[in-house]
Parts: sequence; C-alpha cells; structure tokens
Amino acid sequence: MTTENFGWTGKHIRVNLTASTITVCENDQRIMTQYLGARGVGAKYMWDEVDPKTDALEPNNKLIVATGPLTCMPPAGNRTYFVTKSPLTGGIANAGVGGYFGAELKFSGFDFIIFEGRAKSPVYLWINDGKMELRPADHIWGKGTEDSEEILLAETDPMAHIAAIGPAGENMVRLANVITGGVTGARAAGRGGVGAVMGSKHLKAVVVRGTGGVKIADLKTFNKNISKIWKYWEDPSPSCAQGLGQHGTIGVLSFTNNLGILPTRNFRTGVFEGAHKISGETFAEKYSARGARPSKACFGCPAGCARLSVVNEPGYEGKGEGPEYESVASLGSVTGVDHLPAVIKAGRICNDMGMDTISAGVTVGCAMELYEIGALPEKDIGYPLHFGDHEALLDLVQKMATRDGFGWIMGEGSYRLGERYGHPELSMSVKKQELPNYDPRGVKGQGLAFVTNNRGGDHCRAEVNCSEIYETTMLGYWSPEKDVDAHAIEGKVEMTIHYQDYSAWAYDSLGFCYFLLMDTPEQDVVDLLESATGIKFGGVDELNKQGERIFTLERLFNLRAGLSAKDDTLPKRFLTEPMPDGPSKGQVFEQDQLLPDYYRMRGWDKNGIPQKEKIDELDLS
Amino acid sequence: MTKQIEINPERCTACRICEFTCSTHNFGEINPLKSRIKVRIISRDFFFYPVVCQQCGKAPCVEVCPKDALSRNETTGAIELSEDDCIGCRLCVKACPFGAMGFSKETRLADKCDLCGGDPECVKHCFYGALEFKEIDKVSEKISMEYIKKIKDAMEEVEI
Repeated sequence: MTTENFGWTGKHIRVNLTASTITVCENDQRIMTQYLGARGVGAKYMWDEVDPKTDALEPNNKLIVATGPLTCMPPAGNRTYFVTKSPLTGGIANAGVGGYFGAELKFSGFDFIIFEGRAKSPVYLWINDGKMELRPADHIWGKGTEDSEEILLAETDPMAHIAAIGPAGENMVRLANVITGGVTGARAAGRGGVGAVMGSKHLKAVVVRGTGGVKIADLKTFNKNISKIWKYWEDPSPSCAQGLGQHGTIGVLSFTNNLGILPTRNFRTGVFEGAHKISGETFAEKYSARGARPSKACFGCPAGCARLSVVNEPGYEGKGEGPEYESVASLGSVTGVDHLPAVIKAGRICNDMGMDTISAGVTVGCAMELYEIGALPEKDIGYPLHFGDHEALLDLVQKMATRDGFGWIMGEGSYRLGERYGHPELSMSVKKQELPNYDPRGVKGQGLAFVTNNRGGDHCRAEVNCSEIYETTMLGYWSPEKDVDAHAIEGKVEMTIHYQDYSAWAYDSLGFCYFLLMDTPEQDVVDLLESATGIKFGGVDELNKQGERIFTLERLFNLRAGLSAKDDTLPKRFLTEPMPDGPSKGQVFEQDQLLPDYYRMRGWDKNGIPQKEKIDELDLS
Repeated sequence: MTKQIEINPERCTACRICEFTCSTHNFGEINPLKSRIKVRIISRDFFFYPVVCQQCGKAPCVEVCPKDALSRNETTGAIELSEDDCIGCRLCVKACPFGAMGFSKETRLADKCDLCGGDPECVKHCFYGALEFKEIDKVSEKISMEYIKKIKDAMEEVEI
C-alpha cells in the first residue's frame, strides 16, 4: 500500500448513531481498488455488513454516503452516492447526486461515511475538517430542506455544504430523497427512498466543511487527459450534448415527445398534446433565469446543465433550481398537466419536502388513472381527480410528503397505492420503483435496463438511450454512419449489459457524471482514472469486469433480500397494450424474447440466479 | 501590455473549474482554499462571482504593506508578492476591498494572484466566458460599442 493517497483521501468515517460514536478509519486499499468508490464501495459494505433481509427502516440497516476517486475532479467528477437498503424496492438503493457536497467531503479528508443504528432524537453530523460531532437537530426537524440548510449554514460555517432530508424523509415516505444545496440550488440523491432511511435513523443532515487538498498521482498526464475529454465535449457528435448547455435536461422533452416516448397520462400513450407548453423552449422563454444559457454547474463541470427558474405568476411564484426533464415529465405529462408554472412549483415543493420528483409524479399519475377507471372513490381523496388537474397535483405532492390524509397511502408509492385499490398493475414501476420518462415500448434497450437494473425502475444505471435515441458515440454503438433502431430488439441484450457494467464503474463508482462521457471513448476514462490514482487497472475489459462484479454483487444482495425473477418485469401495460399513437404506434415491449437472453448472457440461470462459475469468475465467492 | 482579468458574473455557473485550475497549477493539488480565485455565492439569489485580484492601479495592499513586499511587475502588470520581504502581518488581507488577498496557513505569509506570469490559467479553462483576459482599453471599447448600439436602435425606433 502506498503511504500517500492519490484520488482517494485514504480515510472514511464510521458513525454509530445509537451509541453516538464517531470513528475515523483507514480505507482498506484492496476494497478500494476492487470496488473503486461510491456505488461500488457502498455495495461492498452493504453486502459485508447488512443482512439483506433487514427491514430497511430499522436500525440494522446502514447508510453509506460515498464519493469516488474522481469526485472533486473535472470534468464532472462531483458525484456522491447514498447506498442503503431501499424501503421502496426492498433491494439495494444507490442514489447519486452532483453539486458540491462530495467534493467538500473529500476536502475534509474523507472518501465515505458509514451510518449505523438510530439516534435517540434528531441529530446532524457536523464535519469540520478533521473535527466531527453529532449535534441535536430538534430545532430543524420538521423544516423543509431550504430553511434547514439556511439555519445549519448559520450555526456551522457559511462555506459548508449540506445533504439534508425534509419532512418527507422524517415521515419515512418511501419516495423521500436527500437534497444537497437547499439554498444554493437543490440537487437530489433522488431514488429508492434513501431519505426515508435517513429519517428512520433520526439523521436530519450531514454538514461538511473541508479545507484540505486532494492529490493527483500524475498531474501533467491527468491534465492532458482532461483536455482530451473536454475536447469531446466542445466538439460533440450531433447529440443532446450541445442541447444540455442550451436548454438543460428539460430541452429533451420536445425530442422524446417527437419520438412518441414521452410518458403521458400514466404511460397510456407516448405523445402529449400539451408538450409544447412544458417544453425546454417554453421554459427558456418564460421562466429560465438566464434564458437558453447555462445557469449553474456542479463542481468542475463544463456542461452546466442545471437551470434556475424564476416564476412570477401569482400562486406559483418562487425561485429554485430546475426543473429537470425527469421532473417536468413525471409531474407534467405523466399527470396530464400542461401548466408549466404549476409543474415548476410542484418540483420546488418536492425539493423542499425532500421527495423524489419522478416517483411523486408517477404516483399522482397512478392515482389519477385509478380514479378515472372508478377504482379510487372520490370520498377518499376529497375531490374528483382527473388527469390534467394541476391544483390537485400541487395538493397531493404536499400531502404525500407530510402523510396528510389521503397523502398517507400515496407516500407509500404507486405500487402500494395500486395494490390498496386492487390494481397494482396500474403502478408504472419495476420492483415497486416508479419508471423514469422513456416509454419502454419505444426504446427497447432502455426498457430492458428498466427491467433488470438492481435498484428497480431506473434509467441512470444504464443509459442505453444514449445509443438508441440520443445519437451519442458512447460505447461505440451509434455513429454518424451507423444508426441504432430504438424499436429493434436485436443486439439490445448485449448493449444493455455493456451499459450496466460500464456505468457501474465508469461513472457510478468513480464519482463521474455520465453527461460528460457521452462522447468519450472508454479508454480515455481508464487513462483519467490511472493518472489520478497512480494505479494500473489493466484496461477497459478489466474495468468492465469490475463493473460486472459490482452489478452482480447488488443482484446477489437483492436475491438474498427476497427479490426474484418475478420482480424482473415491466407492468403488463407495456407487454400487452400496443402504443396507441405517435411514431412508436403499435409497439409493445418484447420482454419474453429479451429477458431469457439477458439471463443467459449474464451467466445466470433461467431464474435469474448467477451461477457458481460466474460467481467464481468475479471473485465473489 | 495592460491586460487584466475581466469578470462577467452573469456567465459564471459556479463550476469552480477556476479553483481547480489555480490550485493544481500553483500548488500541485486540488484545493479550493489555496486557490487564488474563489467563486463566492449569494445563496437563494443564485448569484455567483469569481473573486480574484484586480491588480488595482492604486492598490490598497501595496499602500498598506509595511515591508514593501508587494510591487508591480511592469511586464505583466501583476502586483507580485515577495515572500522574502513579507512578514505575514495580514494588513493587506484586511486592506483589499474585494477580499481577494489570500493567506497561506502553511507559510503564514500572504498569497496572491500573479496572473500566472501573464497568461492566467483560470481564464484559459473558463468554459462559460465568465473570465476574460483583456486589454484594459478593450473593456471600455466593448461597453461603449454596446452603448452606442442601444442609442442607434432607440433613434431608429423614433425615426430621428
């Protein structure tokens, strides 16, 4: 082991909330080299230390807040992952977030934090470089993430960075997230209900101020490698890369609508007649603080995809970060709402309450469909609940976060809501986690990723649509000479597996944002990692193998937790109801053809269980 | 040559690549605290401003220094610090109206931007155009051109 640390800081913190103890530990370099950081290291510690059958909201569950070796390094190394057992899916959760929190944690001298147990009363962890303490948080318990952050900055250090939960996390809403940068522009570790786990531990926030440095093994080569990746960014293929700077992620809404895959009215169709009213273009013209220009960037990022919104319409007024594409689609087209100021406000409520916009929107969409088919009685809600009702949307997201009245069952997520009213199949989810906004009938590889991603309905752990629709050169499937047919299933199994393994190391475990990797060849990421850490990893194939190890370990965790092949499925809507209109008209998702191939190519048996040879090959036995 | 770093806060996204670039270039490590340019943020208003030495013509730091440790490099225009002469009294830190004068916890001496010898690294890596390295004349030229364009448009509108 080297005495000097490059990339990693070399240390982590273990916080036992039950005993109120904080221990500084040296990293196990073997684990760091094999699992890299962030998502990988989180999975490894969950596997080693947590019984997968543990109730996610009980003290035996742990929460690992982890950065990667490239977190705090340009271009776009800024991610932090919240890894735990999910109260939503019952499997592993790993919610990633950009912003500045992860970089600040590294500057304070630590790569990750392991939280164990449950505090007797609300606390927050204050990390002031090497000095740490658990402080009472009763005075901010119940407050939104914005107010909480403002109070915490005032009583710690105005230059600190914070990850906090809102009332949704405190109320253990299964859709609760963790918000960083509540007052400087909220970024969310959104998915899997990680905020509820923090809430169950009575951990309101983590506040960090770091004034130390992080060293790079070979700075000269590292800088050369960054410049190379920057060049891909400045001169991208005709992809959404340029659009990201111009409109942010909301800019793709018109695009997915034009492809007929913009989930509309609880995924009944993929074309939304009101799309132009909630599009990136409309947003830039009316509500974007800087119009069609970058308003804010995460640490070290040249893309600047974040938008800042300013709304002056009475009843909806306010300032905030966002909205992102996923938020606008979930809270907008999925609920049939085309009232942009209301959608923006719903997003702000979610951020302040600390609740995932995707899951919240899709849960509202599910309730609306349940009402419209007559399964959900008006008396339960208190008013008629039709698609497109933006006042109902605002009412329900608020009630969901505070578990108020009908909001109680909605806070359980769409699956448990549907189950309660006799129609779980109307929950647009996989493994009980709500789907993001690409109708899988129109993007088959992405659909397969939804089915098989370990954290349930999710797009980030394999962005196959970078090849299928966005025309980026990521992983070499799409090129200007070679188109990829989004509706076809040929080759999609291999593509999805490649994306899953790649994402498991190259961005989720290194702490990178995949937006910057859309036109970056795999080898350049290897070079960047090696120049930063000074460790030779062997090459692209070896690192993809490490990605496969991380992915498989999570699968094993899920299987032990009680999930099985029956959970690897999209809702039956996508399998049996052909897309009714638009460019993807007539398409269904061919799960029966894709999934057996997927299991086989993974080296799993027909029940989706990794075989002994595979487990040995990955050194997981 | 009289170039200086011009700051366009309306373009700054708080990506802090300037902090990365400055600290790695000058200190060989990623350390925003050591960076001689620092992005300051006014929360809730989403106002981002990269604060860096303006190499003032009548620099308060130079005037207040009791040891004459600060002086202008006539070639680059930068006000440079002589570590041999600096005693670390921090009067310059207090004198700078922008809070741009740094102080090293390690050497216990002042620390400041020297324009990287006349070719500032932070400017080269600012993707958003928030930092520009410009001849001072060009700054006023740009402002006056924008101003007269407005007058021209106004005059056309009222058809004078």
